[in-house]
Amino acid sequence: MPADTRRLATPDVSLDPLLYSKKSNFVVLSDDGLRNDGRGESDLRDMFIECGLVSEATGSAYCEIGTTKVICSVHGPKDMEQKEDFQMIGKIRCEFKFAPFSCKKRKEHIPSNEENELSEILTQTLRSVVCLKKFPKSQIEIHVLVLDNGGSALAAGFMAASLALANASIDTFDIITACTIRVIGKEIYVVDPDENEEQLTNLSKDGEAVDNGLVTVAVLPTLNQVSAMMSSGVLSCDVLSDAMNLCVTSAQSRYMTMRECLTNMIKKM
Amino acid sequence: MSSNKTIEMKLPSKRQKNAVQNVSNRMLVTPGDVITEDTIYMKGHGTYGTNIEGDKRVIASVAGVVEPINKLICVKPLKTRYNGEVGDVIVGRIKDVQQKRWKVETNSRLDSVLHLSSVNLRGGELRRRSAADEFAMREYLKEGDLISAEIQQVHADGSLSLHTRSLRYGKLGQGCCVVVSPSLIKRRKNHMHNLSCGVSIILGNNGYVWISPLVKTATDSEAGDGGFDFDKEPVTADDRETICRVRNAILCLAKHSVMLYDTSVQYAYDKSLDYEAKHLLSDDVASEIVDRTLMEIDLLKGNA
Repeated sequence: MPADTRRLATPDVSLDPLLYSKKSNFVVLSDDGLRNDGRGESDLRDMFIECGLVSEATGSAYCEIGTTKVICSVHGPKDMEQKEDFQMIGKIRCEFKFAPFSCKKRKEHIPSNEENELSEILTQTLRSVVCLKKFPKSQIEIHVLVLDNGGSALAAGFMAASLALANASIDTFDIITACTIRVIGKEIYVVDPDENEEQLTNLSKDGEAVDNGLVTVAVLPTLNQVSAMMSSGVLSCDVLSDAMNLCVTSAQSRYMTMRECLTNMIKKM
Repeated sequence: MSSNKTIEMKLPSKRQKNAVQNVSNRMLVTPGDVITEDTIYMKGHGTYGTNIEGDKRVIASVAGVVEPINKLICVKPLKTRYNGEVGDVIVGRIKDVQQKRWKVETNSRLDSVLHLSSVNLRGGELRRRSAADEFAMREYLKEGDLISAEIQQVHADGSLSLHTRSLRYGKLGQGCCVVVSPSLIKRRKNHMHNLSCGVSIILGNNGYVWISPLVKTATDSEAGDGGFDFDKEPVTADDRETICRVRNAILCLAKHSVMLYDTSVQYAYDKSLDYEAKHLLSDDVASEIVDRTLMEIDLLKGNA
């Protein structure tokens, strides 16, 4: 990984304060079936979305799910920089970045492997959603910045990106809604996990390694198509398909909020 | 040395939002919404159709208002890039100097091109462009210069070719440029006007409006030499204030989506004389001026 030589490095003797924090026994579901924030197993958190915040960008959107805060800005369509990529369809460049202060552990300014992978996933998803044939020889740049990672950051990023594209009046086939599910054993599917539920490994009661993972699905609601599916962890086939179906239905329920946000945006113009 | 200057600020919640126009009787769509399933309608801008056999749905691809023009269905989006037509007058900024051509930024999807063969040479000579002319390109137009030009050709991918082959077009000198949405500029026969308030404006079709002091030469041109040298005489303080007032009036009209042409700008200027030029930027003053301008325009239409 390339090292950042231009910024001042932390002193060599400094240690992460999290090393000294008390390890608490984190239990996902209490005895009466509720999670730590009082939600049921398949309850989604409330979402707040707003368009048109970044004045410098062609289009922009801000998405807040629980404590997760994501902002997306879109630039373009503009002339392609290098002339080698002469094509009659447009090009999309995406960047998915966590702000250094967004996660429990400080992120570097140079994109890490995880951020590069998420950028690639975002590019592939948006390539299937934007009508690229209408932008020959042009490129569109999309930047997603996670200001606070409270779980489901990728899902929030998908939704913010599609709203920012609509704000920029770039032709798309549909808007994207997305949802994340944490699978803990064969029985427990935790919808829209928060930070702890997403990242802590080994939450199952009997400590089994199989059927412990994270599934994120992005859906095109009116066309009823899946545009992105990402899963990590060890999941058996039937568990994975159940998790995917649950993800798709949860993502569909986000559609009305996003549509209302866009119609308010049109009325304000 | 401290100066007592007051700054006006307003909380976002208290700012007067533009009154919701009569959108209740028009259809608002978001990408993916099915507009109609009737087979008689054709798909226009902002729509698409699945190319599946038997599927005749017209689906919106942008967020906006549906505009049905007879049998054609278009969706008018919030932000439009400029779509050029041959013969449009535009104001653009030089972005790049390349071999035998300039790249001009015109608020369109792709940058426009101004070829060396499409400009007038110094002194109005008609001759073949030599290698020396190529080297002297930067002396005429360099990065950051503003020009007024006409569209010569629209290519298949949407990029525009410009020309300044008239004494009216060329490099722009002292003045002020205002950027508005291209949809607010009416397509008319004449885009260069000398307003009676003492400024001359060029309403570029691409949304760039150029305001400058009155041209002093007898001809229509901004500079009589085909745009090589512009008037370097210092602009008086009164002229500057007039230019500033016209600029603010244009911004008021643009904020309320009023079409811009010489009469509307002139009326807005007249109505704004009651206020100081800098106060035109505040929301209340702007809406008042726009209301009065619209009343005046209606009166004119009523009398005509």
